[in-house]
Amino acid sequence: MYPGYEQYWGAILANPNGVLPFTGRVATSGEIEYARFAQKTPHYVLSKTLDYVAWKNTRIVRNVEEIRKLKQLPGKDIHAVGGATLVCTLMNSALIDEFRLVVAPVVLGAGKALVKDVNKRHPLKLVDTKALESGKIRLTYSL
Amino acid sequence: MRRIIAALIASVDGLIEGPNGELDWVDSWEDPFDLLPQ
Repeated sequence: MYPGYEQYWGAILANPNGVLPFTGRVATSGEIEYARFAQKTPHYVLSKTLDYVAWKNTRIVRNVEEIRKLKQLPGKDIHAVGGATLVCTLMNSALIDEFRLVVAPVVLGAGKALVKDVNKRHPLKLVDTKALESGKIRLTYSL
Repeated sequence: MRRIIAALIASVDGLIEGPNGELDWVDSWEDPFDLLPQ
């Protein structure tokens, strides 16, 4: 997951008006804004194999216990923006406090499931709903 | 203690990628999660 993140947001920073990998279009103004925010925000990359990442201000962590320790340190909230595997791993370790799910107006029919390897039931409390542009809806749950 | 906020985009049928990893159905990745500081 991380290599794609670095490739996508790094491409925007390198050339905000260029055609992007994965999407084949140019970045929106909001994406450029996010890329610049991400550039100056500390990142943690959870990986068992990576030894180097190009993203500035980044620390590689090897397991969820390191994330548990990071969570206990003073500082701002941590956003887990990886894929479903990361989210399920964190959920199984009781490390997620809030879940923001954006539902896009499309039925894919086949593909990778949002939640596949969570090992028990997690009741969620609805905190907020918001209709977004292009027909998306954001559901915010606390755990 | 810091909170961890998970953020994902899914289709209505609960998928995050197409069968070949397609993400072309996501029209923009510009912070739909409201993560940017206000």
